[in-house]
Amino acid sequence: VSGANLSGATLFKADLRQADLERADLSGADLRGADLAWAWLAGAHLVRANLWNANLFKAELTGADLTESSLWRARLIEADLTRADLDTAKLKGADLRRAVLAETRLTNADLREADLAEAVLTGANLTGANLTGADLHGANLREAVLREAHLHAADLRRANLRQADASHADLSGAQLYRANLNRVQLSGANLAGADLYRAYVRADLSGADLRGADLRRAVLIDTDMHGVHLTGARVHGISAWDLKGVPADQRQLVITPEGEGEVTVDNLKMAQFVYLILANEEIRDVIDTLTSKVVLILGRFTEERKAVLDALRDELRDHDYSPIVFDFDLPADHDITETVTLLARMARFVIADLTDPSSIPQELQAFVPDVAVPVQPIILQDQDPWSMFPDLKKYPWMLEPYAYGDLTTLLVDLTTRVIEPASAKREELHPAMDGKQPSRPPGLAPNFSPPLPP
Amino acid sequence: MVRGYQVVTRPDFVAGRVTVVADEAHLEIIRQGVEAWNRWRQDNPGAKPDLSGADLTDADLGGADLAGADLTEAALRKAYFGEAGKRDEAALKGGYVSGANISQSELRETLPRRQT
Repeated sequence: VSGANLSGATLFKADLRQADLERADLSGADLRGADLAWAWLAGAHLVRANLWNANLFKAELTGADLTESSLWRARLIEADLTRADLDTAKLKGADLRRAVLAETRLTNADLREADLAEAVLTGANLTGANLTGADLHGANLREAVLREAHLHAADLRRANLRQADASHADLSGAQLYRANLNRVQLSGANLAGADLYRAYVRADLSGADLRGADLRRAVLIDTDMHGVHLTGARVHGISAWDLKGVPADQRQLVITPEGEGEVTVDNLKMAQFVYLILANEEIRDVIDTLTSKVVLILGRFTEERKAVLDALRDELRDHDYSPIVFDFDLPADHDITETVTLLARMARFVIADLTDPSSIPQELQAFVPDVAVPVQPIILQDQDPWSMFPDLKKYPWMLEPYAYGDLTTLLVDLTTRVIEPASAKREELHPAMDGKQPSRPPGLAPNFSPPLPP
Repeated sequence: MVRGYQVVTRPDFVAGRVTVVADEAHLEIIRQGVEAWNRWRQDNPGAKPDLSGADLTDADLGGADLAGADLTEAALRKAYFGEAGKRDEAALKGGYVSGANISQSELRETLPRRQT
């Protein structure tokens, strides 16, 4: 500092427009409501300065020391803060639209509800900064450090986070619509409930929490998914390529668009596959001949009946099956028969829980006559489900319903009374296809038959 | 130090009900230049400079010791607070902003100053 000494000075509401304060000492100065538009503050010493409500429109603050300064609701629109030091600065509600904060130190800064729309934050250090509810839409955060930063409910739509380090950051409920997450470090980050609709993700997500995140139409390429929590994520239209590692959990991935009956699967790769088949009529024909490990579960799984669903999922996974759940408890705003039929056609067998059945008997009546897939009905209490669909009794792939007294009984009997009869029926109906050529769908590519030994 | 009489230096500078006034004696010293001002500061270490509401537009205050000074609502537009005696140099290297071409539309974008 070699400019004028204004330390501790009171400049309350002073008119400092276009003033030249290069390397001036303004430490601890009272600049509340001061007008510093276009002021030249390069290298100025503003440690613990009070700039509440100050106007710093287009001010030049490169290399300024603003450590612990108070910029509550200050206007810093288009200000240049390149390489400035704002460690622990209070910027709550500050207006930083289009401001330049390249390589700026913002460690532990309070930026709650700050407006950083279209700001340039390339290489900025935001470690531990609080950006809860901040507006960062269209901001350039390339190579920025956001380690352990708080970005809950932050608006990061169309933001560029390329090569940023957001490991262990809290991005829960953040809006990342169309954000660029190319080569972003997100290990251990919390993205629960985040909106990643149409985001581009080529990131290290190892150990990240994406439970309930919206990943619809997101592009995931070359992403490390090791230990990722994905349960309950919405993945309709997701494009996932070359994913590495095994997620910690990936249950109940919702593959249907919003407003349609919820179809959930328990595996991201399955999600893509099933979605592909549902969305493309041309390739549906292959499904008949496809040897699959898919087991379709139909039922009404209200909160209190989720235990039944979980038991079914676990047991099926233990038997190396891939459960797809069609939950009739969720409202569908269009005809679901076609979807159910398609899923039934690609399934190895179907488990239909007829407890509190709603439209399930109708759906069974729609596909059972056409699709030779074993259907194992299960039902709570001792009632006769045949009364619901008397005509279906004649089809050999309709199995004898299994009535269970309570959940404990169901769990004990699940393998012997549900999975084994259905599997056995499948073997009986399609022995050649399933037994002899388990990995190749014969109807799909006959030209690829392996040469027979002479 | 003999305290001079006080005048309302900028009667138009009225913020709310508080009429901002500077110490006329202090004002006279600062108008003599930074050297005189700093010398006075040295001789009167206990004095609290009151330049509130003073009109120091475009003043050269390079290297001035204004620590703890009261400059509430002072008019310091285009004033220079850089290194002592380097104002012209600063202006030449582009550091000084007074020469910057600022359009009227940009001026309008800034906060309205005092409400009357």
